[in-house]
Amino acid sequence: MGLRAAFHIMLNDLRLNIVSPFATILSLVVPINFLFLFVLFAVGGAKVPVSVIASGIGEAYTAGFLHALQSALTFHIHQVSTPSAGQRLIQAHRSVATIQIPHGFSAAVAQAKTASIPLTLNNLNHDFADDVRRAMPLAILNFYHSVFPSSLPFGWREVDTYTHNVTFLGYLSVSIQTVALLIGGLLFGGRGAARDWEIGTMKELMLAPIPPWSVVVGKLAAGMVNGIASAVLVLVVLLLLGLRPLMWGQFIGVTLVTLFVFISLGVAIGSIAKSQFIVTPFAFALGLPLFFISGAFGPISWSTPAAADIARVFPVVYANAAFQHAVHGYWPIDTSPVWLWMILLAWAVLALCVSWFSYRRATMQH
Amino acid sequence: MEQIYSLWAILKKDLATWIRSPSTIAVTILPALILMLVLILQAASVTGSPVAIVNQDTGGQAAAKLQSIAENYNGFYRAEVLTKPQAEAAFQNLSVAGVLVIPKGFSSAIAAGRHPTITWQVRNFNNDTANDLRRALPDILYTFLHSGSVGTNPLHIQVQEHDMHAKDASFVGFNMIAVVVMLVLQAGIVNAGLAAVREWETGSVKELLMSPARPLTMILGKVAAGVVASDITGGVALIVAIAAGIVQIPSVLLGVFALVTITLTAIVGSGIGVLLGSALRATERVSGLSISLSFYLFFLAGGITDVAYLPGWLQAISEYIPNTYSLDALRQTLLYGSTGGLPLDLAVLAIASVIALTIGIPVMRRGLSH
Repeated sequence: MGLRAAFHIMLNDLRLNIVSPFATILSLVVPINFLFLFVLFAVGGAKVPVSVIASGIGEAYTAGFLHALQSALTFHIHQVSTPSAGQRLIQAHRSVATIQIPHGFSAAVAQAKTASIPLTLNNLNHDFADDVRRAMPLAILNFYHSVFPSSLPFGWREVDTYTHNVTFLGYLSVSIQTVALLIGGLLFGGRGAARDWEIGTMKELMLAPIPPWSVVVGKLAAGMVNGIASAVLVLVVLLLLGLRPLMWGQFIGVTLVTLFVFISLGVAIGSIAKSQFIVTPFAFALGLPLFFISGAFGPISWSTPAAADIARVFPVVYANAAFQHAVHGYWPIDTSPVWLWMILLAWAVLALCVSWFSYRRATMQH
Repeated sequence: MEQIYSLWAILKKDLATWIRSPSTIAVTILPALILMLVLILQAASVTGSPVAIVNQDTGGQAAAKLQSIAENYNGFYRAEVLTKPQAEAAFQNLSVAGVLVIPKGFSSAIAAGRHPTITWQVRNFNNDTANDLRRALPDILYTFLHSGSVGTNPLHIQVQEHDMHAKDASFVGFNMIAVVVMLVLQAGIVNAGLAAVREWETGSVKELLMSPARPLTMILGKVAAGVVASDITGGVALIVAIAAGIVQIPSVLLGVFALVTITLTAIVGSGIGVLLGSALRATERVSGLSISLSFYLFFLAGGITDVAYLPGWLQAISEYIPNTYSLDALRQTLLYGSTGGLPLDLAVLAIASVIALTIGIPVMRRGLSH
């Protein structure tokens, strides 16, 4: 009886989605929007745009230094012919620095005389400016390492932990999958629960001869159907970006658990707020900060203790680590996999309890 | 004169509704406010990752100098000197992102002309964090070579840096401006949009139409209320940022320019809000779309980075996004104490305001006449 009622509540919620296609499409594409917006951020933040004026490009050491700049892991180089052309690019927001390799650079280097490299830097902020400042020594050392290796009194060797370098976009896109599920889950769960209060059908549900739990189960099931549809859309975009999960089982498992947690919490928020209008900003207000502090860019243990402590309370950081493992094959977290899964499952149970109690409280107060 | 009284009455009514509706205020400010908090929380670790330094040449002077430079390097979030097993353990449990190993006999090997090798163990989860570490070691070694601890400096290339601003803006201050712009724009879109929708949803649109106020007066009243609400939210955010020492107002004139920029941004937002409200006529649609739209505009204008860092096709799009110019104008005035580019920024914002109102007003007017 209860399960049949839940099934029909789910069907009714899904039908209502079709009746108001605008809001449904908006909720379905919000996670994709997030992915798209952060991909823009990742694409933008990868390299520093600079102008280089290589006056004696035909000379051996000038070409060598230009190559060192290109290999400095930092710059996206626009080659220009004059300092004023470089300045114009800075003014037009196309570049943030001008590096000049002057005439006579090669001769000075060959004769072990001082060779100056003028650097005009649009020091927008400390972080951006330091990227440029730190890349210059890298270019200079690499240059000497390649042309005068014996002049350096020591060598250095980098030992990478993983043979394959994951790109910033590849890492960030997986993190975005987590936040997309968070925001999508809260929206689907919250709006589904709030809608019945707004249009007054909650009274009818309360008066119907069905167990109260069937309403919550029906709402959760409808949210899961919508959430899975949205997650599939995000997955398609991830596949188009060239990210293929190594462990499909884990990927699907984390997706379902994460969706369940946030849809349950969404149902709780919707029951308390009783307004779809509040659910949407709440989902964004919770989603964005959690995304930033929950290991979106690297392990939380490399972050500030305050941010890491807050992140550890929420399930996002664990879901994110499990997604990274499923896609890239490593765990970017200091929690063991067993503990991580236990925390995620505990959150699923907790979220279900919270949604149940919120619904009961809302109906009792009514 | 009568129309001015009507406009004033509509402005007061919409502002009173806004102030008495905590949920609307929360919708307006919550996302940006929390983003602000996150920026402050994360700021310290943005410059770099935590690392461990293992100095196996305990008695050597050159090694001690290198250790000291690495320990005080400003590109690391934290640098701890550990023993090899401690560093290995810290690396394994992800307490540190890299381990710098100065080998045994490093100083004597340098003195004897043998080329010792420094090892830099890097946890390369992704290129972004790994490249920060990859840039750090050469920077440390460059300083080490310049310190004279290894005899004559073999590097003859010198970088002559000329900064365009007297000092670097802080990471938090730079991004705070972006958040303020998003806040103002979002407040304008959401408040004006909801103010428009409310009239249809509560049925008060009929009463408005029966009043002696002209449709244009009503719409301008709603836009004005949206602008004032946006100015209040943006102003409060700025005051908080100034009180916290994150942003400074260099002079009264620049402060006035900043206020003009915020107001023009608010007009653009309110124009868009009226357009959305009149076209969609449902709260949940307006709130959903306006928040998504604000985030899109935020990122397309460079967001927490700068337009210069975006790919070419995105730079081309950003030229048509009004808040690109708001960001530039506010960063110039409040962060760099300059008026460079300000005439262009303010002119574009003024034109965008006129365009937003020119499109928004007829749509609402048509809605009212129906």
